[in-house]
Amino acid sequence: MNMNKKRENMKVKSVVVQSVLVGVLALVSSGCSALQETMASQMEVPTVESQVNRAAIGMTIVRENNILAYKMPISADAQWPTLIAADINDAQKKFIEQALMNEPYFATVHYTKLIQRQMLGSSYLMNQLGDYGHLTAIVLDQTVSPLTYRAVNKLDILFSNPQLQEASSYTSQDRYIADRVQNWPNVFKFDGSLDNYLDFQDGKLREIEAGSSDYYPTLGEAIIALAPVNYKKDLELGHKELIEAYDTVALAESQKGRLETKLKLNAAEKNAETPETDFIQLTEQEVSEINEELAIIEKQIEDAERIAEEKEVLYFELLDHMVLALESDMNIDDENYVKLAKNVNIVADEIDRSATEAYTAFGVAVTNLIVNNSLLNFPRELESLAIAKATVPMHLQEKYNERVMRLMKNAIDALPNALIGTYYANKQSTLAGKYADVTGKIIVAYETKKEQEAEAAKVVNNN
Amino acid sequence: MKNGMKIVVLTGVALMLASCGAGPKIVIPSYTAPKEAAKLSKIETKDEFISENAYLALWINPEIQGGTKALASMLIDSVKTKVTQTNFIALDPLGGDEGVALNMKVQSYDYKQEGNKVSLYLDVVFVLARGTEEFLAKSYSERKNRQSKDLSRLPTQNQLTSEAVEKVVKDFISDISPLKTNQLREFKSFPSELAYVEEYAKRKNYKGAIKLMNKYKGERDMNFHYNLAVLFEAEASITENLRLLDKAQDNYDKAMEMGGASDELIMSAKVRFENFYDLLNKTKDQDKANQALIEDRNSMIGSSDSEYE
Repeated sequence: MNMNKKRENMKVKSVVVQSVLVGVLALVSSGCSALQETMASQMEVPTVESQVNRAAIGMTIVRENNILAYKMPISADAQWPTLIAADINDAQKKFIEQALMNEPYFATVHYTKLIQRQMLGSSYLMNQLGDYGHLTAIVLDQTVSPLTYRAVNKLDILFSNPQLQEASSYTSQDRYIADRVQNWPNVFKFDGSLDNYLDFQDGKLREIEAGSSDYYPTLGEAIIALAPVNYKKDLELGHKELIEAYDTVALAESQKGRLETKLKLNAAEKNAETPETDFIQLTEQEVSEINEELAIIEKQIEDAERIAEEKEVLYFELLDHMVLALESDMNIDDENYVKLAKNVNIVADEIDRSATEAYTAFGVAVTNLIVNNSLLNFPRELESLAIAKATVPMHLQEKYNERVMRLMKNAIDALPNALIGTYYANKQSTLAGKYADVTGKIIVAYETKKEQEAEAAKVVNNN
Repeated sequence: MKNGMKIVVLTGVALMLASCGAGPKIVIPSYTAPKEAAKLSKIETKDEFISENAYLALWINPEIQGGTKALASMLIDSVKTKVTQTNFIALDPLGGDEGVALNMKVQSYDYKQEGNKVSLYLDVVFVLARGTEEFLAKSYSERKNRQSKDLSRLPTQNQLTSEAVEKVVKDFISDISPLKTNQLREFKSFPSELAYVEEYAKRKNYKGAIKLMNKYKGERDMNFHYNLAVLFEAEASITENLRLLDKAQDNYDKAMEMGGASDELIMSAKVRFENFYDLLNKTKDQDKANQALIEDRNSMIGSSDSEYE
């Protein structure tokens, strides 16, 4: 009994320490949103659904980052980099909340929250604080989490509808919102195959303005355009090989996550008070085979990561050489060259910041699924949803069914998606950081030149 | 946990130091080094009747394969503009069997307009040859992509072609000749008595800044000599005065002797300075040798107002 208590205390300490460290790290590296998300997760009802949605937001961020880096053409006169980096104002927040109300989870969660909290309690951390913690959690629980605002805001910019009219020209707010979100992808729908992890399954990207300067299909190509001519071919090849190596690691990670989820859900069903009737338990033989497969995949991941790291070192060395060459040849008299560097720099910073946020979202989701045993409580959570169904109004019943169906499917995919996403988020951050360094050199030189010209002009005017 | 806190505190201190440590910066004009420098000896021509030293000269073959007349004319004009930027290589209007010819061939020219998008692809091969020996043949390409909801914001085909020509020619010329560019220099901290030198430098008054530095009676340490070297280099890069460049060299050397060899900022600036020092000297020498060729050609043509000057 004492041993158990000791173990329990150690676990609490470990969770507290982890949370504090994750929080401090998040605060240091990405400002408020990531820290707020970590804290917000502690106020939620500890459901698999919250973590699945958090993983979906993490995936959305990673996919948006992929769009920013590889799908969204960039030019010197493109406006979208400034838009995505801007703060979200209150009007935009309100719109995001309204837009999300059409989504099955957000449309019905208000009706189920109370029953779920009664049946499932509060987060592990808040439960340790007793009744006070429980009440605090109820008061501070936010339906739309901080990272959700940022992720959805970017959808609104990247997938904006070019046919959208002024809100006042619509007969109702619902019609305006429907038109505004028309080209958005469905971010809460997980793809089971994981083959196109980095791509949204639907949605239509906006077109950019590039009338007075060239546009480049990807951020990497814009970097190559900024590079001295003799570096271009090597950079193209280095970049291609690096992306291929990243994809190999991510695919192996997803296979690992899928097998781990299989084992976890099997364990959950085994311990459930009322097991699902159509759930087929794994045999001992099957469990053992999965464990063997996992060991092989671990080795494959190790090898693939080593190769990816080598490719990364090679590509980054090329970028370092490019920086050295740029230091001797700053093309800052060409305004379009500098404007392109500025836009690339803004996007690279945004990817870096968002990658840290995605990293936080996945970290919190995985911690809550595994450490806080949300997965093991999943049968109880489904039970709570079945009971809560009676409180959902008739006109939302269809959405509610959709929500539950989606949860059943997404619960299986959440962990592999979070693991693969963590890998990509980390890589996106590293690469974007490097691009920010390269373009930062050009910007500093340009700003120094402008400052000198302005100071020199003052002298001439004063004379 | 204690270690975690230590890391956080140390990171904070390091970040503060990093942001406080950066010195004032200036941008100075400079030259790019030709990337195909090894081929330059092939362009050199020795003719003791014209000049003591070898001169570098090109005859532009006006017959350009592929492309339209307008495109050919753009290519020739652009080559002339870029080459005469530094006069490192002269333009020889007469050419001849002994001289170096620049032949150009448009390998690909593709202009498309679809809806609100226009694109252009240009690929040109530049060949340097003496007689039948082609010693440099390299292709340079440029792709232009534009789009706008407002079609009036899109460039005309001519404008887009001109931009692409400028780019491929610049890439080619930068392979065989120095071209003007800019470099960033960062100062080390100044002693408090010389703090206002920074303001002079910011206003590009390098001459005044040098005077103030020279009057300084305090200790002339590594930082002092490095900062003075940067100021001499900046003034030399504007005036292209080789004497000032020598003074910059002396001060860089002194800074190196005083420990600059292990200082990343000083080393990086010194390496770039030496490249510029070498390039400016070579360019000036070459310009002198090339001038003899131009005078010779002028006397042959009987004009002093020719296009290749």
